[in-house]
Amino acid sequence: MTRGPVPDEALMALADGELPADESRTLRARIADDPELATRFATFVETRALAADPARAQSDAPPPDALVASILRRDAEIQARQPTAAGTTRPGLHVVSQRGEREVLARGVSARRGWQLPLAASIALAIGAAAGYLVTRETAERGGAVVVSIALPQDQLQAALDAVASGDSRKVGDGTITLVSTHRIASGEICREFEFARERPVRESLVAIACRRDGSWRARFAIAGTMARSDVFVPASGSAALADQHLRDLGSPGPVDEAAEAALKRNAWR
Amino acid sequence: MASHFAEELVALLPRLRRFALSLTGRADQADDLVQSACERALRAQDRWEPGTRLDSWMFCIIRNLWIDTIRRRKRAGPTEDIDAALDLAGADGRETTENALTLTAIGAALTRMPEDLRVVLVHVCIEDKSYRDTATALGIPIGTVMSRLARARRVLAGEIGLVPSEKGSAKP
Repeated sequence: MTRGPVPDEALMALADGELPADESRTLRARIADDPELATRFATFVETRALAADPARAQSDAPPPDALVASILRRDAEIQARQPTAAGTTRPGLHVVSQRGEREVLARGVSARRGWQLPLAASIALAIGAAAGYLVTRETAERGGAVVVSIALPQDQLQAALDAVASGDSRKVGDGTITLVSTHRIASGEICREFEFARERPVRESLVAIACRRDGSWRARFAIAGTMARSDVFVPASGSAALADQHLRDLGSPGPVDEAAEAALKRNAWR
Repeated sequence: MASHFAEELVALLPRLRRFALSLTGRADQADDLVQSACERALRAQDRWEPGTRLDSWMFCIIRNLWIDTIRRRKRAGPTEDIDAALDLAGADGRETTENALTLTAIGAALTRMPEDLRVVLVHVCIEDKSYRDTATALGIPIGTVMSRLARARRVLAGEIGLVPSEKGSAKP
């Protein structure tokens, strides 16, 4: 058996699960013994992990309770050593729409760092794809950084926006999407406001606006409705108010009524 | 009540476990690795820059821990098991952070990438298609898919500062 140098493509194929089982075993054994090979291999695993759709991992079996417990236990130990822990004051929250407009929902000072929204599933991968990723992203130049993005399965989201009437809900990904209203904005585009909420892995919710262009729904605006932590709470009504304001800014005269919405739906939202 | 940071870590677990499983090839080792990385991260959380990608910060910690265990096992000989290696890695307080990716870094790198490389990367790494299905979809040989994909990932790694050094675990 050859012990020659391992080409990049073999390492990549292993990282991508494309090697047959026996070759995988052999190569893994070599990697486990060779830090340089491991480093090269890790680069392929990492570039894939960084580019990947974060929603895909949500369909894996949930993490073992023991693993979650160990994290929370260690967290509690660390917090116990800090009697003046952060979280006693209300941080500032900046809302950023995709057009870069900024509004401030609430002001405050974080004891440690700026406002953070749940970033766990929040990967802003804007490569021109339609609204599979809800993004309002920008690192605020001042104060805390705010990013709101919850990755949703794109096809399910598109289908829900196409099919679900305002006031109704549907399961999407690991949560529920509720359609709130439909609007025709100044540009003539049809936009729909909706909420997405889930309990696992953390409790979080999102209010968002997506507008239909060229046959698909594209995210225009999103803001977290609630936080995973109960001591830092942004009422969903506040988020909805901002979403409504944004729709008015876009030139909506108000939500269309039920009949008009049904007609739009029949006409593929044109 | 759990800290915000800890909740973030818990929410990231599915992706961290996938990453660790890809590295180690074994679920038990993967979860040990993730647990050690999370403990390391909790102790070092002030070094994470808000507004940057926490997942990439965690991948970096996991990767460095894993490569450390390989180095140690190689030095110590084949009898040292991975648990012992992880304990040692945890105790030495070595710098494991860095590689704070901005949220737009990957997207920007992809935009700059040549079309033929980007397309393959999107099919395989974002849409989770097999090499064969990608080859079929694009009408090119599998070998071409693989060579472009490898190039795309090397380019991406360079663009986001993930170039592996000779040491492997210091600067990303």
